[in-house]
Amino acid sequence: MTQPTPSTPAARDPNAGARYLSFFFAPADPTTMAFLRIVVGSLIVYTHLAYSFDLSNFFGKDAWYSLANAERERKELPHFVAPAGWEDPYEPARAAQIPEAPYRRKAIMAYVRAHLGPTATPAELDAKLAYLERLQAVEIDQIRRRTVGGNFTFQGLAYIDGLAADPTDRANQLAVLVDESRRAAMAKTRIPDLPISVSPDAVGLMSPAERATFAREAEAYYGTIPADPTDKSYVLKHLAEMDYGQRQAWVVLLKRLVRLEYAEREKQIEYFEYWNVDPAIVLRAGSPVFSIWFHMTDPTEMRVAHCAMLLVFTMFTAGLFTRVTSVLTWLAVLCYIHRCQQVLFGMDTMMNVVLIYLMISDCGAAMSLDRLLNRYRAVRLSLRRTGTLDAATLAYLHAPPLSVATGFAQRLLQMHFCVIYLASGMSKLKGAAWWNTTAYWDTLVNPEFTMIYYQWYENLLRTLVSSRPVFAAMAAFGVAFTFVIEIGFPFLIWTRLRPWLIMGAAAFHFGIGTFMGLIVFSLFMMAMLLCYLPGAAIRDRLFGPPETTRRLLRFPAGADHHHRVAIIAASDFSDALTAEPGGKAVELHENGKPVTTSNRGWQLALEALTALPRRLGLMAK
Amino acid sequence: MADTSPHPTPIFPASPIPPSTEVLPPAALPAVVRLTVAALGLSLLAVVVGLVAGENGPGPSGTVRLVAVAVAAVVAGGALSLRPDSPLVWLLAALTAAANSFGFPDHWDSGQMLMRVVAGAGFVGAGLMAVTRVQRRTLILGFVAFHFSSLLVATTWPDSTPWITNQLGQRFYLPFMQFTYLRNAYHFYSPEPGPASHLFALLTYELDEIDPATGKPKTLHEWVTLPRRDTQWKDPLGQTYYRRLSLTENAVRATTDLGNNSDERAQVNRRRQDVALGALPGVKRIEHPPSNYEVEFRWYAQPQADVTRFLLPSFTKHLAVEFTSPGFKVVNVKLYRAEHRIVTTQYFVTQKLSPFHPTLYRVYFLGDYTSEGQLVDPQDPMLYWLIPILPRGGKLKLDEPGPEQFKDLLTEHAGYEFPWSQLRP
Repeated sequence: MTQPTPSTPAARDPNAGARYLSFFFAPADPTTMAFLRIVVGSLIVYTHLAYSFDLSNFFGKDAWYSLANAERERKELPHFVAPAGWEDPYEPARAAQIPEAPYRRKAIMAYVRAHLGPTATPAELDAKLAYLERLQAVEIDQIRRRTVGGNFTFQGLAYIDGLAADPTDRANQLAVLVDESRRAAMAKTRIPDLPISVSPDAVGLMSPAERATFAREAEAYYGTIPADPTDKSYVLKHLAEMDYGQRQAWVVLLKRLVRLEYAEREKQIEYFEYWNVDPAIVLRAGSPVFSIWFHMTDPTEMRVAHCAMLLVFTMFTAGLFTRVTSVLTWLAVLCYIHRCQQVLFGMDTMMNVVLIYLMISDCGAAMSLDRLLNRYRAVRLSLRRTGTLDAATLAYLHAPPLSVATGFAQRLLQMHFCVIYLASGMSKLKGAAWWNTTAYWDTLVNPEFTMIYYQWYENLLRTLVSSRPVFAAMAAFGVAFTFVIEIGFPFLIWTRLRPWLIMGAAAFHFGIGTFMGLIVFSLFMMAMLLCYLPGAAIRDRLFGPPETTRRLLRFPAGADHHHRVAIIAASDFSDALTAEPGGKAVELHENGKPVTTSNRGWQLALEALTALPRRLGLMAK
Repeated sequence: MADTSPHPTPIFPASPIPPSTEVLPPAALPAVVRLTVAALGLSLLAVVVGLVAGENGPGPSGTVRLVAVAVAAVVAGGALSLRPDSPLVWLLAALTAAANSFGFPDHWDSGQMLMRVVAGAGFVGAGLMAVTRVQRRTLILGFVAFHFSSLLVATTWPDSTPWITNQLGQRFYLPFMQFTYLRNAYHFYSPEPGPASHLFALLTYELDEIDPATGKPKTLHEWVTLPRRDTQWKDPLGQTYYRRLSLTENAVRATTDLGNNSDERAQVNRRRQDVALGALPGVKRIEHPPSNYEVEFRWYAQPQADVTRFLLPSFTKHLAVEFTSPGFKVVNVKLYRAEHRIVTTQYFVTQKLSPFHPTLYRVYFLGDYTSEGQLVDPQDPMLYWLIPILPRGGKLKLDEPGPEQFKDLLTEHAGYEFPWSQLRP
């Protein structure tokens, strides 16, 4: 077969743009999305009905993830972004960090607060930090010159750790820092000898005058260090274990905070302590999430709200006021999702995805109570207009009108499904277990998910895997099938292989649901596969070919009978109905024989119900 | 050759019936506009009630406002569903939502935010309906591009996140992704399937009765484990069970690296060594496994900061609340996580090893908590250390687990026998 070249007519198709536009905006039969609504809606009702056992456990004030934590998270959770440019390792790091151990964190935050009390001023802070800054300056200078190795600040902090608590002893120790030749003399100022640490290497790079200043700075810095030996150790070790950039970030943080008003300073320190993130680098605090459960914690009120939401889900599933209830369903589902993300699984992700597209689509236009009501309205309007059922109305009763919104939503769902499969398949390619096929075993016998919990299944599995070649073949097939479906599907589903891909994917999810225990997740995935089916196929498979019985509806002229006629016509899904004004009463004939002679609406409805098995679902038409 | 066009030949013909405004004419615009104006009025009423009442918290006026904004939102939504083709109706519905954002009392702040988003969507909708069809479709395709690029960002977000994903995600897409809960990367069972985890909690109850011997309230102890199929599988498809399994999975997220040379690491190691030697008074000796055991039996695994700081205290407080009953007050929760290793095919076949054998559990001590979720001793020498469950004699030829087949240091550490059999009754 020859490929089209730029000069061939195919390549210069003037309608190419329109064809690509129609990829998204082609009107579609709403039956597909309607059937999806029923299946997914039923699963949503079930999933949320199951929450009834755990309403307070998951969404209450003292839920597994408490309301206090959830509230703080949604209002304050820090979001920060990586630097826009390259990070220079010899510049201050972006943010200071607090150690995670609670006792260390407590000591460090006390140290921070000691620097930043109500009366703290930038000048005072500069004086307190001068020692540390001088060490940092020497260190970065030497790093940049690449002349001397070593960690000057580390040594300087170790030196502070060795200073005595007694002011006189400390003064004698610091005297050695100024003049090393006095070491022996200063050691003898106490019995036993005063221990004097080795002076930091940085001193060797200073003039005598700088040394004297350095000693004064060391004394000032010592004053900021906690007196408690353990806390002192925590603070000094924390600073010492950081690299230059991280330490400098601390200096930057303290100098920034001291310039703030005290109330704001305290607020930022508290945020820093709670989230371990410098507020200065926070791009956005909190998350735009909402939930009724953030605001409603009384158990009785919760139960009422839960029941109301279940009612909305049921209405959506039945297709009642679907345009409104679809939006309400999505928002209500998000209320559960946003409040307690700790209990979510893949099924919640899929539920949300499919709901978004159902909401966009006209999924209530078929197989719904809305459709039933609209059929009734259409018949009444036709009777009012023409006195009988005109051709347009009969066509409307035959099948739901095509919908651009539905086609658009269906196409997006198809594309989204491909994204899900592709991401899932390609991410597995990173794992060695998927290459050596042990992943198959790991998914098959995971005790918390699979049926291995049951002894009979364990016994069956023992028999199956007792032969290594058999097991190896099973594992290889399982892994290969997974990859073919997950990676092949997004590409092949747009070809004539679509039916095979859909069957393969359905089998894949049946396997996941059965053998891996992810039942509801698999049901959602299988439901999503429906989006690749044409509506006519669903109608054909669900309801079979049109009935051969011919039905004639005769009714007298006049508006008095319109209600009854409309009920009969709207609830007749046989596609075999013809209407004929005439006679003295409303009469329905099947193959020439009257089947109802009653004028009473409730009896008609009852008869419609008794014929339900035959008529069920023909509401789609 | 396969058909690669976006429209494969349909197997079943679609419905041939085009939309018909003749059969079902749309609702009269003036009536729909009146309905939307009524909704807007109700929203404004909620705002006025808030202003007049002068209170923004819970109370009767708050309840009135909540009812008003809820009804207004539903009525406006209903009106919009009747005439979605009208820019005016979209505009009025958007104004209703905007007014609702002020109508919500302040203690329903997430509702205020929701209404602001809805109002924004409404204004966009009004704009879309006001332009030509081609313009509308072009703009919608722009949003489709935004939406699918956000999915691309989400799928590339897991570690290690590309710089561009981080930039685009944090600066641009994240609020949309969070609001719509479209953050999932869809990396199911990847890069590899891993073991699931349990939470084991030893609850200490204080009874109303006084123990005559000590003069203090009597105490009782009970092991609570989750998830459990026999008691926590309450619905036919096991949602109640899987939700709990998700809770335990959240408690075992990747661990924090203390660094090999840090002071904290040295202290943690020293404390563990003291316990192994029995050198700490009042602390039970939990020996290190002999050197012929795998190195993982000596692991230390501190959970991520958000788990230790927020999740575990919350979990333990919840346990205390859930299990406290009249006369039985939970006063202490000792918490463990147990990673349930998947039995290898080799041991499953050759050694007949049960997938539920206790030696397949890697149990880590997560701390001793008060009923308020406060960690009793952050320097507990066994905190975040693995409590070994060791096969006796180093052999795993076991088909029916029994105490004679393994050394249960969990029971020794907790001081109360752990009911291994309840993991698979």
